[in-house]
Order: sequence, then C-alpha cells, then structure tokens
Amino acid sequence: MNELFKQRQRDNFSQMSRYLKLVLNDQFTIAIMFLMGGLGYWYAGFLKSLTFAWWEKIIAMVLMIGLLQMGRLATLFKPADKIFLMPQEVNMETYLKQGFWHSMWIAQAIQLIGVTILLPFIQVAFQASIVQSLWLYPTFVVFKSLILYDQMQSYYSKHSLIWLRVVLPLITFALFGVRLDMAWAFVFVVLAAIGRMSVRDKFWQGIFNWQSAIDDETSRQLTIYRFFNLFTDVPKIKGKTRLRAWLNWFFNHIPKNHNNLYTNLYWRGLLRNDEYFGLLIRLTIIGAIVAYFVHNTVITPLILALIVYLIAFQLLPLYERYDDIAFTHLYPVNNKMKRKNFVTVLVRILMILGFIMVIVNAIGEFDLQVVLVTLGLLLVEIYVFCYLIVPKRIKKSKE
Amino acid sequence: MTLTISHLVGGYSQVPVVKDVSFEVGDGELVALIGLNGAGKSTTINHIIGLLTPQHGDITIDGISLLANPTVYKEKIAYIPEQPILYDELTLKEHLELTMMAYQLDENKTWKKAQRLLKLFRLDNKLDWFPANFSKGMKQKVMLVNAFMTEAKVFIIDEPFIGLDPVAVHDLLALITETKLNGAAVLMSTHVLDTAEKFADKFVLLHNGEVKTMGGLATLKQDFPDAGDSLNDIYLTLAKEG
Repeated sequence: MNELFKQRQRDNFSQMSRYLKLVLNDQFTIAIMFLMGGLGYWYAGFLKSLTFAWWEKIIAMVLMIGLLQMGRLATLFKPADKIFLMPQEVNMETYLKQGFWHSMWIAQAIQLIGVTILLPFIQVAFQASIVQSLWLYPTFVVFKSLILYDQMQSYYSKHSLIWLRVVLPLITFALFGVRLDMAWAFVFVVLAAIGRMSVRDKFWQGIFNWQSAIDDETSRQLTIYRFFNLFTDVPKIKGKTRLRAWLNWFFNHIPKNHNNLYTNLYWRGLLRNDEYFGLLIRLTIIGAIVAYFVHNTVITPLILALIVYLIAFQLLPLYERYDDIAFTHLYPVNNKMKRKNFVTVLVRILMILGFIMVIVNAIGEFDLQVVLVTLGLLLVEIYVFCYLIVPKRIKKSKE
Repeated sequence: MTLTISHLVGGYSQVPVVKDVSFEVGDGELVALIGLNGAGKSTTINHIIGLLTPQHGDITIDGISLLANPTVYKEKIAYIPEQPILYDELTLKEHLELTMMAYQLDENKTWKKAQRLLKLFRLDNKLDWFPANFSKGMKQKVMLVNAFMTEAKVFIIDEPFIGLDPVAVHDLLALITETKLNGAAVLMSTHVLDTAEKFADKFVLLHNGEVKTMGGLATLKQDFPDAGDSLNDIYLTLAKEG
C-alpha cells in the first residue's frame, strides 16, 4: 500500500506538472496577471477606505470559515479501487495516512496565503493589533490539520464533518471576535485538537466507505481539472446534463427549421451541459463582481474584455462537440450552415453576458464614460472574435 | 464456504430498497439472483461486497460477519461488476499484478492460473494493452480473469452474460462449474433465464426489494403451480402479479 500511494503520488505529480506547463506557457498567464492586478488594485483601495463597522466581523468570520474549507484531503483514489483494492481494506488506514500528509502541504500553503490576504481586513474588522493577529497563522494551521484528519476518519465512522469544519471555527472566531484575545483562540484550538486526537482510535472502526471516499476524490480532482480546463482542454472533463426546465421557454423560441438545425443543438448544449453552463455562470459572476467595484476608464474595459475573451475561447470546443455522433454526418446540412449557426449562438451569448456585466458596472456606480468605453470595446471584441478569428480557427482545425 | 444473508434491510438513503432479505449460498452452490430492473439485485450485491452498510441485518461468510470483521470477510470475496471498471493508466498485466498485490497471492502460482485464463478468453497476446480501451465484452473478460485467478471462496457475479460472445459464455460456465467443485460459493445475478435455469442450483426471485420465492426449480413450480414449466414462465407470472 505504501508503494501504491507513492506510485500514485508520482503519477499525479507528473500529470499536474504537465497541465501546469500548458497553463503557464499560455497567453492566459498574462490575462490572469491582469485580473489579479485589477482585483489587487481594488482591494488596496478598498482597504484604504475601510472604517470599522460591526457587520465586518460577520463578513470576516464567513471569509475565515470559507478559507478553512479550501485545500481538501487528497486520497488519489480511483473508481476501480473499490473492486481491486477491496481485500486490502485493513491497510487502507496506512494508505489514508499517507494521503493525509500528502494533502497537508498544499492545504497549509493555501491557508497561509489566504490568511495573509485576509489579515489586513481582519485587523480592521476585529480591531486587532498586528502582533495579535499573527496568532491567526498557527490557529489556521492547527484547524486545517484537524479538519483533514477528521475527514480521513469519517470514511470509517461516517460521522458528520460539520462539527470540526464549521461549528468549532465559528465558536472560536466568535469568542475572540467578541472579547477574548487572539492568542486565546490558538490555545482553544490546540485544546480542541488534543481532545479530538485522544479519542481518535474510536473513529477507525467500521466498514470503510469506498463510495464516499471515491466520490470525494473524484469531485476534488474535477475541481482541479475544471481550473485547468479554463486554460486548456482537459479530456477528463465530462459535465453532467441537466434539463433546466425554466429555460424551456427560450429553447421553444429558437426557430425549428432546417436552417437552424445547429442553432438548436448548440443552444441546448451550451445551457444544459453543466460544463459550459457552469463556465458561463462562474466567469460572468467574477466579471460582474469586478465590474461592480472597479470603475476606471482603462482597467474596467480591459478586464471585462478579458473575461469575455476567456468565455469565448472556452466555448470553441462546442463547435466539434457533436461530430462524434453519427447522425450529424447523415443530416443533409452542409458545414457552412453549421459554421453560421455556431457563430450566431456565440455572438448572442457573448452579447448577453457582456451586457449583464456592463449593467452591473453601471449599477455599482454610473459613469457614462466607463460604460460607453466598455461597451464599445466589448462590441469590437465580439465582432473581431466571432467573425474574424473563429472562422479562421475552424478552418485551421479542419486541415 | 457459506454466504449467509440474514434479514438484510438497506439501500442508498434512509428509504430502504432492500427489505428484509434472507438467503444462503452454500458450498459448491451456484445461486441465481433474479428480478426485474430495480428489484434490488444490485443493491443486495452492493451490500454483500460491503459498498453499502446495512441498516439492519447482517451478512456472514462461514460465521465471519461483514460488520464485525470486514477485513477477513473481504479477503474471501471476489466480485465481478456488471459494468467493468478498470484503471485508465494500467495495462492488462498491471491490472493482474495489482490484484495479486491486493489479495497477497503467490506470484508464480497465480501467474500460471492467470495464463490459463488469459488463453481461455483469448487475451494472452494483449498483456501490454490498456484494457480501458477494450470493448465491453473484452473488459468483462479482464474482470473475469482478475476474479477467477484469486483464491476467493465466494464469487459475486453481476450479470455476466450480456456482452460476452457465445464461446466466452460457454467457457465462463465451465469455469463456474470448476470453481464450484473446488468448494466455492457463487452468487450470480442475471436476466438470461434459460442459461440460469440450466446451470444454477437454486434461484432467489426478488421483487420490490423482497424475496418472493427461492429454491430449486421444483420448489418454484410448487409456489407457482399455474405458471408453467420454465423459469421464464414463472418469472413472467411473478412480474405480472407485481
């Protein structure tokens, strides 16, 4: 089992580095820099203008508890394990412990970075001194270790994770948020950890829950692959399909005739497949948040144009999505029609999302110049992308 | 080896799919688990292999309980799923090696067994291929080789016949017979009733999560005197009665 985990660790590492290479080499690195810069710019401005208010404590607590959920237990399980490793159940404890240590590095790094980012805000929200708030670092590290350990054991004991994940942090942060010193929060967490560890042997009993262990790991990996999928094609990403009946009025609106065959297909693919739909929602929300807060004649249009570009670029594989289905080759529809339909769908969806972001921007703070410049830039971008770049790319992929 | 399921209640959520199911698979016995889609066959099997925890009741192999001693219990079981699950990144050879590691089998002895099985299912020239790219039937054969090369005492086989070619079905039945002679207990769920009728020693008919009737064909005929002579007729009668 030791050997097996090490082997998987190596495979996992080489796969992750392969994707990372693809991501970092890409033009998108620059894009992300811009995005981070924009957010950083906003955060710095936000901090400067920040004054103490009671509700900031609540927001700070939500953020802190949210941060604690990040960095999940990486067990590197695969679906076939439930059959092939079944007789090794007794050794799964060793295997899981290796997974625990493997997960610690990255999870703790996320915690430390997260605390660093949140620290200035927490200082204001809790009215704490620098020395005091530095106690948050060890507090978060102990918390995260405890949560990971608890998750690992839950595959045997099937107990609820919410106590250590949410309830205990809530009590801790509430206690020192109201009265106590932050150093006490650390002492409190250490005591809780000692208490939890002293009863740990009780939790190793029961049947190992393969299904939930595998499901958790699959969903963890899916999250990572989804992230990579923002930059490059990840073959493992296969989204679920949902009916979304509330969109039926829209689907019924699409003309059902020969010339719009692919328009029908593409709209449904776009809005029913979780992968595409999730992408649209996620990036639009990010864009809308930035748009709400950042009002600068240069930065706002650039960031929104970037978001639209990111969305548009991700949607390109949709063009070939139905090529494996034999029907599409039997249809008496030529490729020109298919291309035309695709561009129609692409233009519409980008316009809709772009408008949403511009409207949110105007709601945040109406500045005619920013709104007009952004709108103009987006329109030019969508035109160039859909009518000049897309046909070229499609042609290139055909050859 | 005797597999005993007693008063099993369970399912995927709080709502039980399987309601108070009890039956036994004895030494050298092939028991066919029969029922419509959704009758609870796969749920029962998932409980037997320990993927689900029973809400009530227990499952034992020769008195070793799944709940009290899962590790010893699981070493005695080999399972062949209906949908083959394989590792994308492992070759056929590596799959076999992993199984040997997992069951802690003697390599030399097991490879001899494996070679014979690979030849039987005409996979012996594909050791360095990725089975994840095989057709369904061939993937199933990989699962069969993996299961039958172990020294498991209880075999759980979920719908083995659909997808296999006729030669493979024939060879599989011979293999099951051989395993039975070695004293193993075999539980098989299937929809291929005429094959089941010919080869199984006992039948367990599940309907809506309950055992409707069980026993040899003679017992079944007694329970459904008007249904006709074949397992197929009895099954259809039961399904209609609902």
